[in-house]
Amino acid sequence: MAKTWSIVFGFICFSVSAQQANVVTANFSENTFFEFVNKIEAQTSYQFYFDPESVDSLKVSGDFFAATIQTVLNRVFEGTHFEFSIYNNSIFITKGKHVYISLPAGFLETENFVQSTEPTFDYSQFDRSEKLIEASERVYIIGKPSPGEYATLSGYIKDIKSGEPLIGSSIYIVNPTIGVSTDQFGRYSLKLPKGTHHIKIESLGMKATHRIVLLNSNGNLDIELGEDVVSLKEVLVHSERNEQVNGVQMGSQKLDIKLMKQVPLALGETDILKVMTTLPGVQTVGEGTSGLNVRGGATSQNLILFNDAFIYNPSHLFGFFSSFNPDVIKSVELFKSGVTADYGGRLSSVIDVRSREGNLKRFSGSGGLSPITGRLTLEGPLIKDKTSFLIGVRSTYSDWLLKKVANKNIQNSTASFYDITASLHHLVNSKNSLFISGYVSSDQFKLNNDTLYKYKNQNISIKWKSMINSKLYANFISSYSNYAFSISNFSNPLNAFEMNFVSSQISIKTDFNYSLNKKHSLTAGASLIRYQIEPGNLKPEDPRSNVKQTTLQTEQAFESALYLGDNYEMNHKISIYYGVRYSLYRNVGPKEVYTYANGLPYQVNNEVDTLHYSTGSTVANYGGLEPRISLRYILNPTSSVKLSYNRMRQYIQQISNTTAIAPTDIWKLCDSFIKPQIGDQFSVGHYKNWKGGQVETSLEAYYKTTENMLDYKNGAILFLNQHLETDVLNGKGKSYGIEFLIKKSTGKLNGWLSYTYSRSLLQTIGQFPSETVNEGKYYASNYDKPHAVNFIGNYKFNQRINFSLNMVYSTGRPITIPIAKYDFNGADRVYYSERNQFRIPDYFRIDISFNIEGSHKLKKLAHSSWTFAIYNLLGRHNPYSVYFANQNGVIKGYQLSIFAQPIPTITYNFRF
Amino acid sequence: MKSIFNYLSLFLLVSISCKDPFEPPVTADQVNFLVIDASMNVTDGSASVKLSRATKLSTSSIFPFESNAIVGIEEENGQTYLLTQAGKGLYQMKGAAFNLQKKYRLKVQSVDGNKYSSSFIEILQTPPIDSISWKPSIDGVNINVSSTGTASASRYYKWNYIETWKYHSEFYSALKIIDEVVYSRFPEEQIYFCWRTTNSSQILINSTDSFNKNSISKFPLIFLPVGSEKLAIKYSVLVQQTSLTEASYNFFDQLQKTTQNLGGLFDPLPSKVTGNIINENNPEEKVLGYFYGSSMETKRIFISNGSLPQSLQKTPSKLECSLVNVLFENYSKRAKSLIIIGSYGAPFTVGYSFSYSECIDCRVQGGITTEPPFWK
Repeated sequence: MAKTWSIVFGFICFSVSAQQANVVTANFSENTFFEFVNKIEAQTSYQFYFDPESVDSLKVSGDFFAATIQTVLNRVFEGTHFEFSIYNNSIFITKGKHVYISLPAGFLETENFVQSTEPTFDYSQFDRSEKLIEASERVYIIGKPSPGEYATLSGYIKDIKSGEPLIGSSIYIVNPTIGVSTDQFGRYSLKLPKGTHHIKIESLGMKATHRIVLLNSNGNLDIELGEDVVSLKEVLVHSERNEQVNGVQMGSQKLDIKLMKQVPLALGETDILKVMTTLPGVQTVGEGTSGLNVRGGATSQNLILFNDAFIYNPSHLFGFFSSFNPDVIKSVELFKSGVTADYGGRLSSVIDVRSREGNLKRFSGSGGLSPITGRLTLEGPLIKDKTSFLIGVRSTYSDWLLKKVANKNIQNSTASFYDITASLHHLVNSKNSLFISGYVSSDQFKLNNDTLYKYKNQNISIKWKSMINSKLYANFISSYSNYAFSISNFSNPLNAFEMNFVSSQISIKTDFNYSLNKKHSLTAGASLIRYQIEPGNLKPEDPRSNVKQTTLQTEQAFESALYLGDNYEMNHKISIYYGVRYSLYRNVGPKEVYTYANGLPYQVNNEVDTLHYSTGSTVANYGGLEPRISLRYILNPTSSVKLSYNRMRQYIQQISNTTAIAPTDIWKLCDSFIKPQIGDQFSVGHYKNWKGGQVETSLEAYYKTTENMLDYKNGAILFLNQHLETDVLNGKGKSYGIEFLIKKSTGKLNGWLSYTYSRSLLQTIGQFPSETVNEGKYYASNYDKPHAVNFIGNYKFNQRINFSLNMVYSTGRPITIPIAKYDFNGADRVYYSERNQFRIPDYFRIDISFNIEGSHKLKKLAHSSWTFAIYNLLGRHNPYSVYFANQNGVIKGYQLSIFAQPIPTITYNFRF
Repeated sequence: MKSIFNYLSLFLLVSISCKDPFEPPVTADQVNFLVIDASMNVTDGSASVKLSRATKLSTSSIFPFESNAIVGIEEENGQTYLLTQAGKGLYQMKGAAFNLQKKYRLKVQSVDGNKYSSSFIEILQTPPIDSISWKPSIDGVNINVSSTGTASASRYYKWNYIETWKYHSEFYSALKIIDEVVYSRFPEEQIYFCWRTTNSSQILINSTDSFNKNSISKFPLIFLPVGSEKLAIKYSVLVQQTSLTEASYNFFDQLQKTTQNLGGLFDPLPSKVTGNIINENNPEEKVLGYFYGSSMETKRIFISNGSLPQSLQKTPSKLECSLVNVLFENYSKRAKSLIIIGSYGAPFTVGYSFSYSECIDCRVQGGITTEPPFWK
């Protein structure tokens, strides 16, 4: 390689070994600054140091003959904000600032006063980073000299201010190029040749630093990084740049909360699920609906984890809000394909939501007010540098708003929600830590004093992280998730009732991570989940009520899994991850199972017998291998191709025949009739970085099949159904697509543009006509939207003002609509098309927002920011649904748009 | 129930949501399905079959009827009863000796030669109606039905009703004109009092599946709002109760669901409602409609205006009717659209009074002037 790329404090250094006379002869005409630098470096011994992002719009013109470097640079930067400093053979290009190359007079208190013609340097600017500099200048001696060529250096990388681990930080040496990223606990393990190394550390949003290490044997080095207020975006790129091209993982996106907070939203609050829908391959059936459809999968096929505990219902208020408080979220990671063997249980995707750990150093808080909600988060140390807590509360005042509406029906309605997230983080010692997280979200609403609906998620997880030695660490996780809803109506004593549903799961899980050698990194683990579902309990709520008490039998099952994976760096170019998961599922008694006459459809009138299973006996048994393979091949330093295949099994299903998931959709465990879903996905992708990593592109294609997807008979009854098997059908799913993403993460202007072509099809062929949908042909699923284009752009005017623009286009979703009318039983009736035969019109929307930050004075008591946003700027009537109503005997079709006009919102956020 | 979510989410966004018209992209030929509305009643041995064609949603509600078809009801391993054409697409029969223990099916041969048949249906014994009760409220009158079936009887109920009410026109006409000559009206020629009869058009079904007892308690059938013309003098309703099999209940239940608003995100996916009739020549052809049968229980009640609470005795708002007086000498110039009421002028008659037909002839509003035999 003629050029060596290295990264020092966010500057890119172009170093050229050629040595020539230091004069320049060249002709530039509207050349880029990069071309200019290349030419100068080729002709002279000078090396340029500059921030590539700051010069991306700079053009260079001029004709030079044997000119000195000063002459050339004076000409080039004349009339610009750029300044240059020359120190020996180094040229520093800065924007708006000057780099002083000598110390202030008298600084060294020497007797010989040196008169300098250069302006002097203001040392006080460096006060804050003094501690870090000190650390970076020290030589760390690791261990005592020992035999062997290599040694492993491991440890944690943390935020110096909050003590939080920094995930995905890069730690590397330049020559030879060896580097790793920190894992989800901020841990790294780097195998290096023994000797002295200059180790570089970079992390998203943090000041990059380095350590000088004399490595004698295996050992530990924890590193703390200071927050980088100024060049957040810049560092973010570098760490992601490595990941996108060099990582084995494909089909994944990691979103940082800081980025998500810039995206304009309808109701003035950051919503992680809504931001996800702007990524390629992620769809939703409509505005204000909960649930994501990832690569043509159903909403119930996403493994949504909040601090390792499964979340059944990720939304509040019909999906207008996600149930995650943005103030407590640290990051969200989405895996669409190439899922590693440690995850299992859902077909489509893994959405791994992590909350922050409380600040270990000092008490702080944050909060905000938006048109519908208010939120407050407090955190701080219980024992400094050892134990911290974090508690976040969010609630709504929508009830109060409803009372203000001048409509009697609305005044009598209620709708409210709250959620609480609490966590405790304790560093037991340098090798062990404990993290306890609790989460409750609750919703209730009532329509015009009629039926009251309530639903609640409750989760708790306990995680013990242990570094057994420098090569092996382990996690022990135990979690509990519970989802319950109820529907009640007491308005008429003769019909007063309450109906309840509860689904809960307890799980234990352990993960081991072992760095075998420089080439192999092994993962292994096991998990056990116990499910329990009370599918329905209807009871009279008044002594006079004629409602019959109905209790469906409780379902219980065990799902256990073992997995093993190996990340194998075969050589410079090829890296392979291969793993396998073996899952085993057992539905256990007590249970009564109906049997149906042979050769007849599962219908109530074909019931012949009931089988009784005693407590603990096996009702149904399923299991199998789930191979996971990913391969990366580096084409050149800026591009790579990746392949992956994975198989997933899902043993719990959501039963819903509505277009969007409703809070009252029940979950069902696989049993002797309902078989587990099996999904296979093949995907291939090409990844490339442009302009030194400022712009990255990816092109991914996938093909996915699903066995035993649930479909429903026409007019199926899903509520309180004693024999659900008579109303559901087993279908097949098939989806495929191409996703294109171009992303610029640095610079004043950043954002991404994505285009997706995808199809999601279902096929249901039963033995009998009543079990076949659309005559057994493949038909579009509810969330089949072939074309989707998303654009998100941010422009940073200065440190305090940020402008965002969001554009969304997609094909309209499929619908089943009435196509004819006829006379029957004395009135006009409508006749429906084949299932999902038609589509609603296409969707297009533009949103904008301004973020205005308060001043950046570090000593300020509280920092605040304002967000002004306009959702649906064009006021376009985007159909949410199409419906038909009989008006005076004439059936009229309507398309309903929810946010049919621009919606301005103001949100106030603060932190202290 | 799911539609409630939709409903409420709309409420929340009532000020910013918006609806626009939507037209399904289909042509008339694609939806020209045969519709068969058929039922049989073993109590009086009657059967009624209506044949028509479906149309596009946007066309006005006149459905092409299917005439000159051969329509019969076939007993399983027994004879076939033929129905006779009684009107536009309407085929009827009466007094057949249907047997509760037997199964029956419908056979139709259309003019174009296609043969349609239903599956064999079971005939159920319908439990008697316990009572038809009415209850006044602030807004009007509710009419409810109660019935108790045996534990072994069908738990699925369906109701139809026939309403008849007496009303009168604004003006009483004592005279008539025949060939430009004025005569007195005979009492049987009166056009002041009328009786109008309409059939129910809603699907009224209920199931006692979720109740301990097989009993229907005050199931709301009809609501008559205050000021309704039906309550102006006297109102009567004949409620017909039939039992349904589970399959036919499911059919009507689905049909009822598809008649409600659909298409919201929290509504069940709408679906094709599949009936029990197919084309024998072409099983792929979509045939709409249903054939069902049972014994029938009936009960009639009367509600006279005087028996209502004072607040509900309000008379309906009347048409704006005015009299037109015409002198004898101008008699021939009277407007054609007017009807004679009587003579005017006192003490000496100088001409005739006329008014618009809708103010004089009660039949214009759809009634007949003959008192029905059951009226009391």
